[in-house]
This record gives sequence, structure tokens and C-alpha cells, in this order.
Amino acid sequence: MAKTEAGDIIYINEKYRSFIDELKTNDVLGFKLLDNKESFILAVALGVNQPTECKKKRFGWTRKSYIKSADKAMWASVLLGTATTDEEINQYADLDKSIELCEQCAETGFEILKQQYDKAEGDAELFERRMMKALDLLYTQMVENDI
Amino acid sequence: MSPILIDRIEFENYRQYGTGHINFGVDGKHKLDVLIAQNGTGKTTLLNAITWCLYQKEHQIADTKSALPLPNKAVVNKAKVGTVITVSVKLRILDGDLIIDFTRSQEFKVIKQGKQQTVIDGPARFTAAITDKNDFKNTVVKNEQDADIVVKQYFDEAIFNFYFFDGEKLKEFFADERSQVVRNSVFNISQVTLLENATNHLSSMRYAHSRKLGKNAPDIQKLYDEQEEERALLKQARQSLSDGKIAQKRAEEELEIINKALSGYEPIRHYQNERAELEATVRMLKEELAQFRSDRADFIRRYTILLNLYPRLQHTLALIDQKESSGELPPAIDKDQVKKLIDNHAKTCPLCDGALDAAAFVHLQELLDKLSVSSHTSNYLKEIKSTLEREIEEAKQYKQKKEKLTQRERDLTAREEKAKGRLKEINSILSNFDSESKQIDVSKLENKRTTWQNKLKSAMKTIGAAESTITTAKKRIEDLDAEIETFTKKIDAYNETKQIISVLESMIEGFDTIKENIMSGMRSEIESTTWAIFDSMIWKKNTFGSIDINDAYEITVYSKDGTRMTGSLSATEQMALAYAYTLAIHRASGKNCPLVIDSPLGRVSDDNRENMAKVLKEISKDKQIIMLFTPDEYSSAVKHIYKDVATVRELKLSSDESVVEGVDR
Repeated sequence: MAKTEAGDIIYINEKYRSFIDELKTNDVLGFKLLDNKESFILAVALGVNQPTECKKKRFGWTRKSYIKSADKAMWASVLLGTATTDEEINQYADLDKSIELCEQCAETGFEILKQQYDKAEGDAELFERRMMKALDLLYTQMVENDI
Repeated sequence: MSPILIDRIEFENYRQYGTGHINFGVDGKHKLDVLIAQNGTGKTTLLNAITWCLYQKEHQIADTKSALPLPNKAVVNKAKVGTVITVSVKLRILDGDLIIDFTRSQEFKVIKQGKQQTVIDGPARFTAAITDKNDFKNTVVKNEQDADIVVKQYFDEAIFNFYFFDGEKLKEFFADERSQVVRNSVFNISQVTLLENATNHLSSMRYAHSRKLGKNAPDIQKLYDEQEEERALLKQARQSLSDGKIAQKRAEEELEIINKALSGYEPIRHYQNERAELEATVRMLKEELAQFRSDRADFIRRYTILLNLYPRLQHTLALIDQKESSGELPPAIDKDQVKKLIDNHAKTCPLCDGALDAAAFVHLQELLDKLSVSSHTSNYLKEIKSTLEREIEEAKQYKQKKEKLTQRERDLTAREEKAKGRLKEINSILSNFDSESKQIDVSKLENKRTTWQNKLKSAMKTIGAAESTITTAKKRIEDLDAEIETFTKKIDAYNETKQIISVLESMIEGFDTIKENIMSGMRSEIESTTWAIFDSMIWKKNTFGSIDINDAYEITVYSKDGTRMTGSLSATEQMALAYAYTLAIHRASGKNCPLVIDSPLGRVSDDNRENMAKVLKEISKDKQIIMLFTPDEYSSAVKHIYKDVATVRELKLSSDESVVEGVDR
């Protein structure tokens, strides 16, 4: 059965639209030319450890059909990366289910991004430098120390 | 266009003119009046009398607070204390069959001040009496503000010095602050004000209808209110963008002139060359830094994703590796197919057609238990494996890639600092340069250059901010339209009101377009007329190439090779340009109004006076010109040109200097 248009859409919380517009207008972190799929996966990554269900009004942000083969590994690993049993592996090898989890991760991720931007009081340069600095710690924790 | 004429001016107790009148020559082939008077007699006072009558202001008086009071001094001295003296000036205008008498009068009470007698101001009155020549019995009299409206139709005060012209004050024509005034006046002249009023009215109607729509739905009303705010922002931003672009163009032109002047001066040429190279370097570095920032942003985003997802990527890859090493990936047997055989109690094997007995089913079940991944899962995992490996490898390269970025930033920043540092040094040297040449003041030009560079920066900032606001506002208006549409779609009753709003919006858009087209058309017309008249007045036929009037009504004259040369016009050429511009504005106004010119040839050099006098004579065939000369200006050559065509009158002060003689009483 062909996917309906509604089934193809990936949603975000509507309240983040104006924040993302602001990032685009001020060209923060390259948002001006960034497509919605890219900003979505960024938010997913930031919120990957604290998925939250969106209980408010949602807004269509991007489409499943926009996910290319080169992107699939990342999107798939969000859910597959939590599988511990063979049963879970079989269940989680499902992109649609992974996308559902991604939406919950993005709900938190956009909030984290907004908080960091607000802390920088709209100073794009400061915001970017702080994000860059945070990567050093993340690399040490995730890659060097393999936490 | 038949000319509008000043037929007569009447004075009552007005300054040194006292009580009397002057009739102007309106019947001849040339509508030309020449009044000759020494400086101090009352030439400028005649201009003041006209502007006082029309606007209640004597525009040619520099300091009104210290000026003598209006009533004629002799009349004041002769009057008893407590007497009320009426001062009035009446100007009779002929417009086709219409006779319009503008009369301003004011009462002054005589008081004693020390040993002198002076006056205190009393009430003033202003009327415009309009009579049709064919119907003298019916005169329409308009008072005060209504009379002001009649004045505005003929002699808009905003551009009064395009009607009542002081030849000594040419600079005012081209001053920045005048151009905005001229622009507003052209707005009025071209009746664009009517369209503007209509647009404002339509906007009010749209808002009123939107309130109706939102009456029972506060959410919709909020959306409409927000839309109105965004529209206002958009309008402001568009104006700001237009102003910014005009300022940018002006600054760039000024900088071009200054740079050209500086580059022509040998002692500083090497500095100039070095500076040009450094400025090019700084521009290039700015672009490289912008690219660097973009690359840095890409890096931050990419590694935020890779490093945050690293545990998940790793875990997923580990799963796949484990399945592969245990032989489960890819599965040698199709798990789903085996499960089907078991569930359907198949009788024969689909591959070899052999019978499937109980032992066979046990074997099949053992196989199934061994296979933990389905074909779908197997394909899914196989598809993502190589990408996972690449991404994990990329994550591990974080430190090297970051170091490269950091090095690149250090290098760019160092080069930028070096170039800017040297630029600063050169600018300082040139700002303090002691030119030996009298022709070029390097230090002054440098300071001017810095000023215009700052103005250019400011203009670019304004443009950037305006463009950003326009983009955001347009998007927000569109989004709000969509939201309103969603709300109102549900309610049939709102459809009619929505349609009305839609029609009003189309009309507003249409009027805006018409306004822009009219203003643009007017500007082009004034530009081409100014050029045509200027070109006909000027005797240098190989120097000037064109004239440009921008949206802000600033005039630029270009040479034939396209060099800007407004600032290097001689006094005569400035005068010609001022006349040409004045006449062009008159033509654009649709009314052929008279010109009253004090010192019409005052700044024209001797050898060009005759030429200019001839040009003005030619113009007077179609337009009334009243000229106020000093005897020196009214040379024998000029006299010869005007003797058969102009009504000439000499004015001089009485022996006791209390009154101007030569006025009819």
C-alpha cells in the first residue's frame, strides 16, 4: 500500500518554528541555507538521551521520502542503537519506528538548542564558539573514553 | 499651457513700499518685467511682500526677530500712540478666465518704547477672492485655511523658492535637505497625495472588515492585528531600503571622486597604490572569513550529530559485526520461508520435492531457532553497515579536523590584522599629510574620504537590516494569511467579508503600483526636461553629457565621458542648472506659474550675461518672469536685449529714505 501523504510527514512541535526562523534570519550555525531535514537530525542528536513525547500542536517539518540512503544509517541507529535482544533487533530494524523515536528526541533537542541560544543572548558568534567548545568534551567522553 | 500671471501687487503701509501698487506687463508677447533698484532700496522686500502675502512669512529675511516691524516706519512715527495701523499686501493672479486676489492684512497698534514709537502685532486675516472674468457679479471668497489651499494649488510653500527665486542663493537648490522637500512637493504636484489618501482609506476599510471578521473570534482578530503590524513594518522597511540604496549610491559616487583626486597626486601615489591593494586584500579576507565561518558552522553541526549519536552508531555496528561473525548475516536460509513450511505443515520441500516427515520438521525448527534475524532485518542491517563504519571513522577524526579549522582561523585572522594594521598606518599618514600643492589638500580629502566611508558602511547596514526585516515580515504575513485561511474556512458566514477584504487588498496593491509608476514617471519627466533646458542654456556643447535625478530628487550632472561633475560647475552653469530644474518642476506641476527672480544675473560672469539674458527673454514668451536687477547687473548689453520687450521700472528710495519711489500711488 502506498504511503499516504500524512504518513510521509515528520513533525516537530509548532512552538519551535519561530525560534528556527530566527536562527535562519540571523544565519546562526549556518541555518540560513540549512534544509529542514538537516536541522531535524541536529535536534535529534542533541536530545537523543532524553526523548519526550510532543503533547502540543505539531507542525509538518520534513518528509520520510527525503531521507536518502546515505542518511539512513544515522536515522536507523537512533533506535537500533538501543536494541539488546534479538527480538528487539528484529523489531527495531524499522525506519518508521525509528523516526517516531527521532521525533521525541528532536522535541528535547530543539529545547536544548533554544536554551543554549538564549544563554548566548542572541550572539551568534558566542553561541557557535560555546557549541564548538562542548564538542571537545563530547569527543573525550564518547570517543576517547568510549562511555 | 497658458501662463499664470501676476497682474498686480498692492501695498498698504507695507515697509518701505508704503501704500501703492505695481502693475505688471501681462499683455505683451513677452511677459517680462524688469525692476531696477540699488541694493538696499527694496528689491528683496518685494520678494518678501509676495511671500508674506501668500504664506505670512518673509522668506528672504535672515533673522525675523531682529527685523524691523512690517508697518512703514514713517507711518508709525506720524501716528498717535494707540492708533491701529493696517498693513496689507494684495497679489492679483490671472489664471485663464479666473482672477484671484490673495489679500493678507494685519493690524498693528502703535505704542511708545522709550523715545521711539513702535508697534505690537495684532490680528491678521487672509482671503482668496476668486472671480470669473465672464461673471464679475459672483466672486467666491475663501478665508484662512481654505485660502491657503488655493495658494497651495499655485505656489506650494514647500518649494516657494522655485517660484520666488533669489539668484544669490543657488546653493540652496542643491542642498540635501531641499531634495526631500522637492520630492514631497512633486508627490503633491502629481496628485499622488490623492492616491496616498485613497490607499490609507482602503487600509482603514480593510482593518474595519477584519475587525468584523474577528468580532466573534478573538483568535482571528489577534492574527489580523499582527498582520497589520507586520504590514506597517514592511512599509517602513521598504522605505528604509530605498533610502539606504540612495545613500549607498551617493557615498560610492563621492568616494570615487575623492579617490580619483587623490590618485592624481604624485607625492602620495605609492601610498594610494598600497592602500588600494590592502583594501582589496581585506575584502578578499573578509570573503574567506565568511567562508570559514560557514565551514565552521557545518563542522559544528556535523560533529554535534556524530559525537552525540556515536554510542548508538557504535552499538548498531557492533550488533551487525556480531551477527556477521556468527554467520547470521546474511542468513544462508530464508527464515520466513522456513517458518511458513512449519506453520502450513507442508507435505513436500519446495526445493527438492522430497517428503517432509516429522524428523524433517524437527530439523526445520532447529534451523529456525538458530536464525535470529529475518530477511528484512538482514537487508536493513546490511544496507547501513558501510555508512556506519564511515561515520564512526569520521567521528574519530574530530581532533585532526578541528586542528585544521583552528589553524585556518589563526592564519586568516593574522593576515586580516596585518592588512588592517598597515591600512590604519597609511590612513593616518595621509590624514596628516602636509600637501605642498595648493591644488590639493590631501589631509582634507582624507577626512572627507573617512566620512563617506562611514556613511557607506552605515548605508550598507541599513540596507542589510531592511532586507532582513522585509524577508521576515513578508514570510510572517504569508504565514498569518495561511492561519487565517485555516480558521475562516470553517465558517461560511465569513466568506463574504473575506472576499471584500481580498478585493480591498488587490485595490491597495494596485494603487501602490500606480503611485510608484506616477512618481517614477514624474521624476523621469523632470529629469529629461531639466536636461533639455540646461543643454539649451549652456554654451559648452562638448562638456556635459547628461543629468540624473534620483528617487530622492538629488541632481547629478555628468560629463560626456560619464564623470560626475556637479561639484565642479561654474557659477553660471549652476545658475543655468537651477533655472532648468525650476522650469522642469513648473512644467511637471501642470501649471505655468510665474517666476520672480531677485538678481537673475548676479552670479553670472560678464561674458555670459548676455547669453543668459537672451535665454530668459526667450522663456518669457511662454512664462511670466519678473526680474529685480541692480543697475550694475542691468548693463547696457542686457538693457539692449530687453528694451523692446520688457516693462521696465526704476525704483529708488525717497530723499528721506522712508518710502520707495517708482511705485504707482
